[in-house]
Amino acid sequence: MSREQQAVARARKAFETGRSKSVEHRIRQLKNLQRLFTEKQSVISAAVKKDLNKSEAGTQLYETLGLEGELNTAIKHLKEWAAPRPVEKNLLTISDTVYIKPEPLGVVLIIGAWNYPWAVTIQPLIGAIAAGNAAVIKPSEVCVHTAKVMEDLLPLYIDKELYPVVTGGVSETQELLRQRFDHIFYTGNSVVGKLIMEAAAKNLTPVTLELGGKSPCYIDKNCDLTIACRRVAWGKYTNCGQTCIAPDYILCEPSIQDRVIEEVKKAIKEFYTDNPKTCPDYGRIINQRHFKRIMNMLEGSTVAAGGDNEESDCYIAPTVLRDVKPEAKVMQEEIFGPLLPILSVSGLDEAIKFINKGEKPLALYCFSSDNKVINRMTDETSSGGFLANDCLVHFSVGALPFGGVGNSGMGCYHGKYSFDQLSHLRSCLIKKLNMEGVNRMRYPPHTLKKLGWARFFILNSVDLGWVGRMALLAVMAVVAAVVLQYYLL
Amino acid sequence: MSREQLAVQRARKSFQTGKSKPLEYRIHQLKSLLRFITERRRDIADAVKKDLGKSANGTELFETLGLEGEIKLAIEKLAEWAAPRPVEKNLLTITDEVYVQPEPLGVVLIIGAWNYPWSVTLQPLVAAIAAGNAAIIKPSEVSSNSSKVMEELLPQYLDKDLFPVVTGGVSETQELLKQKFDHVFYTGSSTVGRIVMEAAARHLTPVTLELGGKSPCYIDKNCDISMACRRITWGKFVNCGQTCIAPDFVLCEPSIQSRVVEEIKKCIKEFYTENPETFEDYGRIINQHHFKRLMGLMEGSTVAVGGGSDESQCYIAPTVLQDVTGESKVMKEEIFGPLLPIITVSGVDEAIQFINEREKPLVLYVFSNDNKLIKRVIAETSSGALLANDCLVHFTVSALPFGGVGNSGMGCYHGLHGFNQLSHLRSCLIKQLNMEAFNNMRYPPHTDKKLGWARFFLLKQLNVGRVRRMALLAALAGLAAFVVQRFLQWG
Repeated sequence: MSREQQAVARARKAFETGRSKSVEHRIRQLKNLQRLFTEKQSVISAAVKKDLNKSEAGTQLYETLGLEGELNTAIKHLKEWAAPRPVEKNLLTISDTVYIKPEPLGVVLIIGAWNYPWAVTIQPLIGAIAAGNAAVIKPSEVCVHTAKVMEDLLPLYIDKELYPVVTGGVSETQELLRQRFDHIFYTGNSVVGKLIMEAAAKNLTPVTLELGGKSPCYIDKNCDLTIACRRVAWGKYTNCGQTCIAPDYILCEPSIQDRVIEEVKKAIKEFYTDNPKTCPDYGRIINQRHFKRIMNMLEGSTVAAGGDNEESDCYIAPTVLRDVKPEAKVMQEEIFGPLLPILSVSGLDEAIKFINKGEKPLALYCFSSDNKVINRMTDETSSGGFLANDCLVHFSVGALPFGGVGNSGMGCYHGKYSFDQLSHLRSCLIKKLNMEGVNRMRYPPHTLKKLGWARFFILNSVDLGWVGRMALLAVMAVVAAVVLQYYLL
Repeated sequence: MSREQLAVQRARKSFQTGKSKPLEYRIHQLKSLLRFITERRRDIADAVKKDLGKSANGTELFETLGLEGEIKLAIEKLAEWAAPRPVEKNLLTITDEVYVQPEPLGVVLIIGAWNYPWSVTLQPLVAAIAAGNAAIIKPSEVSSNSSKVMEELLPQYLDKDLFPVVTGGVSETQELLKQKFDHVFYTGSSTVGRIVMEAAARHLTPVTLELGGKSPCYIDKNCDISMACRRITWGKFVNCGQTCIAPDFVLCEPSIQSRVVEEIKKCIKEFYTENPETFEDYGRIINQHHFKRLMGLMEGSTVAVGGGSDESQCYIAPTVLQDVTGESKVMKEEIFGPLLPIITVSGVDEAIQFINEREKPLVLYVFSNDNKLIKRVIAETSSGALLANDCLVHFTVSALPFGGVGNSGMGCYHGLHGFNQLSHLRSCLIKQLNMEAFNNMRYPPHTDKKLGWARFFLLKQLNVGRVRRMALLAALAGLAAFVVQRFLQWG
């Protein structure tokens, strides 16, 4: 038996003992995870620094703070999320118990990514644990140092049979994908996403795919360009552009292009100093392969800001490209790096047309002071999420489902959505062995009269609240009449 | 270009004009669908009679009534379902607009099944139309008469570009599955379900798979066995057992097996007369292939009731098999026919074990007066749905999501669940280009002080509702104090 097979078999055995199901167990494991982040903050930050050159504060701000929030939310709300959810009754179920019961699915496979290795690997884990599952955690091998830290630290805090960490590369992942899971949660790119779904299909395993794409950013000429560009620059160059919801490219009218470039340049200087290479808060490209990939994309486009780079350091300066054409190399795939192309469009119409020609993105950004522009943009396009007048921050609103559509993914998570995504919401209808008379209308022989009754009960889905009120009034009226009569007489 | 490719292309082009999106249009199409069912009741009933031997009243009761209910519900609730759904705000979004906007996905492929050809093909269509999509409708070729009627009549009621009916067999379906859709909704077997999902994976198309399995039915000895058996008999032999949520087999203690057999025998006689073959409300097996399959399943098991058959008519009598074991032929696959095996177990423990050794079913039935026992079964098993003390009827509660888990499927529908399943629920956050000072805590350089502020805003997820209530109370207290002081001064 391979190492992967063993881990999955052990996790399934552990799940079958039932011990991951009790709310107390789930909360305990989540609290242990909380401790991990408070106690091992420096180990985590050191690894992320080696992988992505992120500063310690940056790691906290962009990775672990969000996780702490999700953990707090899950611990606080778990009982409520896991409780049976009563549903609206109809005439036929008026005396029954009708509810939806959230249940664990079983063994979940979580395949993490390398760009925010903690956030995108542990957030799904929080959902998996909260929902009562076992989970096999496969961190990305590309973030070498973080994968090792995860492999070392997680077993010290959470149940190592229920939640094993399985490290490795392509062949280990393929071996994992041959096993049977009850759900697969994958964060990464669309190409691999297809392979994952194909593998999952063999076992009829449902999947959540958090993919990517080119997230457009439209800047209307009617808006505070200074603030807009500041927010766009922040959204773009955080983690060196290696963010699934980074604004991939800008669409704006030619009349404001120069101004946009100026403002972005100003913001770059403000955030990352005159020499981003030496700024502790400016990151690096994850590895040489991606460095080369991104550098190649510059071909054929005009650099308006930045452009300097150093291969041995995997350093690429915050870069802006101007007058970019749709056929340019940089527009052929998701950039996932610190290159910000600006494409000119004649206005909102052309912007919408351009956006709709491409695949549905994970996020769509629109900067405008004009509500009509924003409304048109939402009405006439589709995307995983939509954010007006800022970048990235919809990610931190736990009440909003986070996920893609079309090529950018399927399924969603965060907060309660994580819990629901990794649960089976089982319909339960508890009837009694009485009132058999009502059922006569459904038994053969099927007469017109019986059909009439069935029609009444199934189609007149009366608002029980209203019926209840009328019934109550009627009863009260009768009682009043009886009492009056009794006392008057 | 193949016929299938053309249909999909036309549907997509039509969807891209935006015409399926306005609520008025969706309601108009749904009302047309309702008219179709009422005006063409005869045509539908005739087709189903030819396909499955169902009576006209049976077709109304088990196919079109539920459909009418779903359409009416969708029409009534559409504005509510399609409206933006505001979400709870946090400290950082307190002045923003935050909501989830349901949107159409695009072009949906609906692959129907033959057992309730109208219900399982058109119910997903109701959801697709309600959600603003275009939809290709591929009825099952096995229920050939219904498929033909759908192909001829549906275009007379619904937009034929947006909602084309594409008929055909395996190769036409394969050709359809090569095209790109925004969602594929499939009802049928797990084997084909895998193939559908694999095909969908190539386009990253999400799927809803309504599959099947062997739905267990546990009868506790503590219950009104007479009533329980009545309901089970009905659930099993409706449509000749060809129901995805039919009780596939019975588990009970040996001490009540004879009683169960007796009671079911009584009910069969009550429902289907002494001679079900000539009885109008007893159906037929869909075709010879399934007839032979079912007759083969009986091999090696003891017939306690029924067993009669007539190949030329695809007739199999309501049959009960007793003393069946887990290894019997009839327990190797979903029966989907009028054979009811009874397997004896020593009690609920063994029943739960037996159930858990097998794939998760679409539905689990438990008959018992003991609430504790029912709760145990719920807690220790998994299934698409669980219904205690009756069969099938959870299907008609549209507030309950209808779907499987594991081998019995993924996704769910009915009512709002169908609408949501075929929509994209898009997160929308509309901020303003002001209060930029606030954002300083997130911009580099990342200092500990800024981090402290971020920590405060992100982690102190104050329940805004509660804050408002406290603020209100405080205001009221202040006002009361002021008023009292004023009046005390007067006095």
